[in-house]
Amino acid sequence: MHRHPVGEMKNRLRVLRAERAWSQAELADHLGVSRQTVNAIEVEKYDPSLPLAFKIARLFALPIEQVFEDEENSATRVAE
Amino acid sequence: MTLHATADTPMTPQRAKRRYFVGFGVSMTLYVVCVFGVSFALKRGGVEGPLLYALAVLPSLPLVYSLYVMGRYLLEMDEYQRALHTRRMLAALGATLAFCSVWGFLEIFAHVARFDLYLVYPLFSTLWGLSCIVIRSVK
Repeated sequence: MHRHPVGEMKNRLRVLRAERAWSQAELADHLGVSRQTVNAIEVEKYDPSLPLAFKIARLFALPIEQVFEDEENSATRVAE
Repeated sequence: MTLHATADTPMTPQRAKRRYFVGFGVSMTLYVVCVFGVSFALKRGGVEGPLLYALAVLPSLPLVYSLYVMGRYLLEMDEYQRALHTRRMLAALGATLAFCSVWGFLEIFAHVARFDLYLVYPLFSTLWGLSCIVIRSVK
């Protein structure tokens, strides 16, 4: 079966959550989503929509690219 | 009735789930009551014409309501849950359509036992339950 050609996304959600000592359920409450959704994003089984990605970035007061990174972006960074 | 939460009652995943279970419980209770009620009414005989049609349709109405409850839950759950459940429901729907198509032709050409249409709903529900075990991710 063909998958979408866009590369995999990486994120630092688990690290950012740990820095604030929040449980997945607490982070889920802040974002208005289920704990399963937070877990799916953390283990990179799910890439959030743009509105949710921005909400996450705003919650941690970071630019979105410091929370999420796509494969192409990280490959360019390694090459530099 | 609105499908979306209002400003004073924000929709949370917990609230969406509670609304689903309450709605589904109500529909299944009404379904059982209607099935037994209609069976009892028709056993006594003497029902015909438009009333017979109305009574015959009655048990299906709670099932139609339960489909509305499922659709509402799909819209009210968060985006990951929605993506996951949409996949699961589509898989169950596809499997149900496949089974009905195959069995329909078996009935026509091979004269196998008849599969009553009222069984399509429980078939879909069972397959949806199975798809929840098999489909664990959206990637």
